[in-house]
Amino acid sequence: MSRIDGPRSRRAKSRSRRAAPRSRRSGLPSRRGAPGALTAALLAAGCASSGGAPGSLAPERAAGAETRFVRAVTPFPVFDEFGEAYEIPFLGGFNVPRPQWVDIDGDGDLDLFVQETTDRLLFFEREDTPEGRRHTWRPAAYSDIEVGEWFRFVDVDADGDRDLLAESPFSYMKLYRNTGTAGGAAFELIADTLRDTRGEAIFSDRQNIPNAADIDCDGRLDLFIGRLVGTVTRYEATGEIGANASPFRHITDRFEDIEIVADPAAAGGVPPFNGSDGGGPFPTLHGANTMALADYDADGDTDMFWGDFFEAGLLLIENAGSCEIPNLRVEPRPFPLDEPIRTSGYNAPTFGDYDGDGDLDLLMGVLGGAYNANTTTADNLMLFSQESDGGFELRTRRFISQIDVGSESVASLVDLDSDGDLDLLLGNKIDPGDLSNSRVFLFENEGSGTRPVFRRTGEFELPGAYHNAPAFGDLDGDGDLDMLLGTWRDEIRYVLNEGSATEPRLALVDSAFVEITRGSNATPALGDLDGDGDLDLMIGESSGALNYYENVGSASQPSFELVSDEYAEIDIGRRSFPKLLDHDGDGDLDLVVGTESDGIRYFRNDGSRAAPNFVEADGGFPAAENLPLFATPEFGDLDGDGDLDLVVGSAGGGLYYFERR
Amino acid sequence: MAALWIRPSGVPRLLQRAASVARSGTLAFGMAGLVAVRAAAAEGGPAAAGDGPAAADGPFLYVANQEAAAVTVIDLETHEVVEIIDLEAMGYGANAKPHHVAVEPDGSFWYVSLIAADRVLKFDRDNELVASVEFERPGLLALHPSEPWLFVGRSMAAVNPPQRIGRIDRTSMEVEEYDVFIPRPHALLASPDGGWVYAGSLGENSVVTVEAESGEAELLRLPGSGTMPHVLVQYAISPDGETLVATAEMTAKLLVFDVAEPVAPKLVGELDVGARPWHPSWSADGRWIWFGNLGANQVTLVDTSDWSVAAVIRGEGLAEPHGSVLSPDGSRLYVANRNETGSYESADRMGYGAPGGTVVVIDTETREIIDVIETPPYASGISLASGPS
Repeated sequence: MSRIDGPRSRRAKSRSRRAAPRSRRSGLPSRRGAPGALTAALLAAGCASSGGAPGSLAPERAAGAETRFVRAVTPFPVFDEFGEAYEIPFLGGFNVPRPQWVDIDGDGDLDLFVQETTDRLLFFEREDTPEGRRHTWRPAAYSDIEVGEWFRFVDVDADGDRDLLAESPFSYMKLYRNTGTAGGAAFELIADTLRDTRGEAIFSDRQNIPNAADIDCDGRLDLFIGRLVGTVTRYEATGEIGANASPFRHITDRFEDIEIVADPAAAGGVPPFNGSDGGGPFPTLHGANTMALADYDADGDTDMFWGDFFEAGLLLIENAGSCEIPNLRVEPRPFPLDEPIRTSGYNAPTFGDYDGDGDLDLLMGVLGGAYNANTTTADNLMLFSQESDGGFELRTRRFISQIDVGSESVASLVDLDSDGDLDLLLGNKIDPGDLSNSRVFLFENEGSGTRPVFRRTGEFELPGAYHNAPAFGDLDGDGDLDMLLGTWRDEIRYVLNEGSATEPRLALVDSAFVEITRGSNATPALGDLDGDGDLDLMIGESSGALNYYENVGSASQPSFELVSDEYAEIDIGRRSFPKLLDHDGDGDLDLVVGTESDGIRYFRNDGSRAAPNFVEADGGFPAAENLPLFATPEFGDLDGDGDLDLVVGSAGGGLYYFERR
Repeated sequence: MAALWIRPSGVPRLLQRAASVARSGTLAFGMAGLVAVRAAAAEGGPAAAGDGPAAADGPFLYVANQEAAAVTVIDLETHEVVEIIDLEAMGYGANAKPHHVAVEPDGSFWYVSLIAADRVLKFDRDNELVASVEFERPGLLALHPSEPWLFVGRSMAAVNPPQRIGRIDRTSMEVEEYDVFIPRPHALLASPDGGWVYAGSLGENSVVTVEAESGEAELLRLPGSGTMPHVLVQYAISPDGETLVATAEMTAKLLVFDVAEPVAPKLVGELDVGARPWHPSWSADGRWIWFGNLGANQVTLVDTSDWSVAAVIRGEGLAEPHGSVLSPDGSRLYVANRNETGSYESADRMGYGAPGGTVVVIDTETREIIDVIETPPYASGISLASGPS
């Protein structure tokens, strides 16, 4: 539908400035025409980037009316670039998914837990239908359990149900006992800092994710912790859990003499580390690891799988002994054996019979190690099914399919083609498939203004910039939508629509149309803040402050002059991401600001359309809890009910959706 | 093909000598003379933190002992251990993991990063804790030469550490964070003129130049990105500020950058330097670069006049060398050694279960080891006051 051309100009910029200028002016040559109908609509709506639907939006609720935003992850269909529907489109994206399959509800199928962020578990209940296998996200389930940086559901007390081990920050271990039933788990915190029978706290560097299994078939769970030096510590369960009973006994710090060491030459490296000048065998690297324990080959003993920061693949340490007498003193082999996988490294495996054919399949999260984590910020939850011949076949790299464009996504909802519904544009921080650029992906609305159906149909290639943050408005008054594009630095790019309102053709005309006075991650928002009929500019940045630029040009010839780089003394901490909209329906623009780690902040305009006075609203922004890191809000009436719904970009590279009610 | 393998069984085990002394109060310390044991500081051992000023007047050498939750303070003149700061006793936990140290040029204050306690601590000359600040997974530290800023990188020890570095105001200990865009920013250095800070990634082949005052960053992707990772450990910069070197763990190279235009580093050379080159130090005359090879139990000396390896030094005490620092007059190189595998047999484990770390002293003129100072386990970062007290 659209394309973008290369830059025509770039302004010179001093790299040595020491003091922030108090004002800066930027402008464009005069262009054609008076403000068109769309511009008028945008201004009337008071929300340049969300008012793409023809005509004015219906008034918001009366000021003071209670507003609620209700999250939905499957509110309407969204299709990927291959025409496949996302299973859970608005889940928010994964960057570092740590999975575990476990039948937690005792219904005979494998449910899935995934940890994407610190402390928070995501639970997906397996619900097969005649149409196929399905995962239903249960947001409330297990949401109150804080798991630090890792979790493991394992049966510590050998009572037949899964207890929960998790990190107790920083780098200690805590235990929740399962006090529920086979059909419904319930967890009670038993020990915040687990100690072994010697009374010593059990320590595992938080990036080293332990695992447990009964390695010697004696009916007692064995706990394994990978150490920074490459060795494996083994504990064995005592079978007792209680306030005064230690659940684990220390066995050894050198389980099976395993010592994972690096062989850079095997990974394509160079030097003769083992030569006479190398000083002896190459020692362990300083890294991070994960592991899984499973009898993948059904030979009756438990094998070990090792993921490591310095390992692009997954290593199998096959048990060459027996169930009772394990022997893991073997050379590890890349897995799957017939076609080893390679990722950015630090791979986190879990095994289970996903497809119900009687053998174990593999699900592997990619956390990103030494091999460039930016390449796996979207394709990072990989399913391998075990085939009848024992081989493993890669089925998907996105086991939970969802909108995910990499990391730190930024959304815009605009009617880019003037067909009466809102399209979705989604920028990323860095494109996983092209590390030299970011992308803005177009999800075209092929549904309607009341029943959207999004399909990813294109993308904009924007050379030489990262972290694209689009904001739309008719800046030249010709009746179509132009774009300001924030970047990872201090520059705002100007992208002009040289096509039409129905056939947009976006062309980069200035790579540094506006430069904020300091900092990075400039994020623009457009709105008429002084009531003079043109679009003014608010810019967020890394420091958390806001920069306000008044349009001292006109609705057809913008010229932005800095009014304040600490606007209204608002400081939201880090990564301010402003949006201007009439949230309370009183006819003037309010200010909503996304943040890095504090969700969304709401500053109500207690002034007027021409003289705003932003005051942080009591009670905060009325959105659900658990907003993502790097929350980047965008508003648009997606269901045509006359109010502005909310989508939020996230650190994970996906989107959250909230319906306004 | 796998990049990792298991060391075959049968490798030498660590020596399991019983600890012969208690850990606090009356420790005895092995030291120079290679294996001789002598009493430290005041009779019976060093002062504990909070016991008042150390007996010696300094200047001092500060060594982080990562696996001992301790910082060792060493008299630079006598090489005596004058104090061990017990961070566990100060409430930071047995696994606080002090990683790196930075010292004010006049020695008035020093700073240590605690990886697993998410803290950067500030101590005064008397080793009294005067301030601390929370910082997620702190790693390397770098002082700004003129402004009161301490830059902080990230350690390895997190599943997904922030892609930011910190700028701590050394007076107020307030933190500002700068986005650097790269995963796991580890290597960290401030330029001699203070205008720039360089950060390097453990997770991709990228270097970032950050304007020290504004935080504005420029990204340089190194050739080979996406294939064999370098894993950039640490930088050193020439005294004139025009050449930057980085040690690369996986490729075992010293990368050389022209930073005459600081905002646009140019990779101009690579030198094979042996396994796991770690923290480099650049001599004040601009000629020499010293660093330990963590993977080879040696110190490598690079001659920048022709960019060749001029010497490789091995010997007693060099056991997984980590940090390095040159004395203010350039006559001595101090190298901190982890010695996790116990390849150096310390005279005394000082009550720690693990093998002790060392600080090896090298005469930069003769390039010989002249002293081995024993410390608690896992000596990692090392620093001293660079100017007059």
